[in-house]
Amino acid sequence: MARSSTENMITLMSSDGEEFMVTEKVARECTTIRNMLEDDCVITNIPLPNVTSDILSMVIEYCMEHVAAAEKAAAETAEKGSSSAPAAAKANKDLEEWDKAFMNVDVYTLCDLILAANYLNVSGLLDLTIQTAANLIKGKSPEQIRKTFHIQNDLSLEEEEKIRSQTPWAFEKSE
Amino acid sequence: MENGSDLLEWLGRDTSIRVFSYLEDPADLVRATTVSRSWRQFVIANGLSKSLCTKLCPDVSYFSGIKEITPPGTVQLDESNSTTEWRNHERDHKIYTYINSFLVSTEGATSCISHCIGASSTDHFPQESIENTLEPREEVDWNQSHWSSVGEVDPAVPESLMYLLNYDLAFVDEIMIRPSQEFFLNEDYIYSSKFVRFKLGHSKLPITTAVFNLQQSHQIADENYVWTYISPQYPMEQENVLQSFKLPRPVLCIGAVVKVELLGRVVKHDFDDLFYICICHVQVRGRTLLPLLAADFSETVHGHGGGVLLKYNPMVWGRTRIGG
Repeated sequence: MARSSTENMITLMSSDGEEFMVTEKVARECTTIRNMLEDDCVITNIPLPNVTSDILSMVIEYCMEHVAAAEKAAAETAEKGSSSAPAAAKANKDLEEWDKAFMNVDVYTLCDLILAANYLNVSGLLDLTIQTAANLIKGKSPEQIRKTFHIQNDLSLEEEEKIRSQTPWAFEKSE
Repeated sequence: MENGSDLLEWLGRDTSIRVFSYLEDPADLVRATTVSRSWRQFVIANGLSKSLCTKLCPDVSYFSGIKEITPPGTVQLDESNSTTEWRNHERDHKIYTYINSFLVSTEGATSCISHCIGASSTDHFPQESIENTLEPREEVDWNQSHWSSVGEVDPAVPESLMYLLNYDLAFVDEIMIRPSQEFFLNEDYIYSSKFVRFKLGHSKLPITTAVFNLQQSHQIADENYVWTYISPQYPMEQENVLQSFKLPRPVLCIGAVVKVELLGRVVKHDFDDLFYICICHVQVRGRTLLPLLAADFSETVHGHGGGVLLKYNPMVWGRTRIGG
């Protein structure tokens, strides 16, 4: 990644005390941090008591990837005077593939990422993680959902049977 | 989840609602209510079935409230506010799940026109009355059976046909129209229109079928109706077949009135050099929500529409499966 030597570096500190040095550009991907920087431009050390180091490193990975993709697209546009549609489409597709691979995590990590993305206000990551969580429910049987999210079924057999018999159409197509 | 805590607790209410708002299939929501007690309470207490229904079928937001029919002799229960609130949430969940079930498939649609309200013009009354469009056949007793507009010099002059459905509250899936064909001086003419468009809604005045005078075009004037849905414009083929115009989604017709607008004339009659539109048959295909749900207009302000209530009859609940 092209980085000018004068670029500000920011230190983010996770709840368990680990420090992460990132460029200001990457840090600004988090709207929560961007707002802090705008309120106080000399700030260089930001404690994030709601985010563990494991999750924070993933959020930073996501932000770095997306900043790099945006910079690459901007550089290509500047070079050629205009962006070529097929190249832009390919870059988008590559980034989507990257997002998809990035979402290959267990359900606990996914939920923690949702919470971190919400707290740090990283809109792209929040959309991605929420969509991923919704996909774990879409088209799935109640049993599969329980298994995915480790949920105990505390409904009685009669209660469940009653819902099923009143709405049979909802249980015809699930996987 | 970890330490026995649930996904919903883990993410909190607002974020969980966001996850659920990504579900687009009503079946997903119903299945979620059988995952566990907390999931069931979450879906019901946050009115997620209603939110999804409003998204998939915006027509429902026309209702200003729900009116529950209480069986005669019902004793007002002495219960806490929270119990009443929960019962209302459960009731709404049932109602909107029922409506959602109609959006999952269009199976079971039937022809549902009950009466003709009127036509914008009629060439020869009653031989060419709109009444003829209820008859699928082209000829009845060796006479041509169709509705014909009056002739116009300007092909842009629109026409419209208006019908009353069997039910106050019905999903309309499809409207079918067959233009009329005529054989005149060795030539075949098919009097289709260029485009069609549909308006669904209710009359501002109480409708009594006895007063329809099919010869008077003013009773179909737009100012007497509230349109809760206006369809896109569809091109019509100049072909003598029953043409199907499927609405982009099942649309809730609130108040039983369907207006078929015939836009643009295609054929000039050699006899008088005027443009005509003639229609052999019209069918509105839909599904009723009766007897569980109906539209209640008793509290609408006269002449203004609005204030239409969704009437819910819990007494038939046990006999009604929620859709399917």
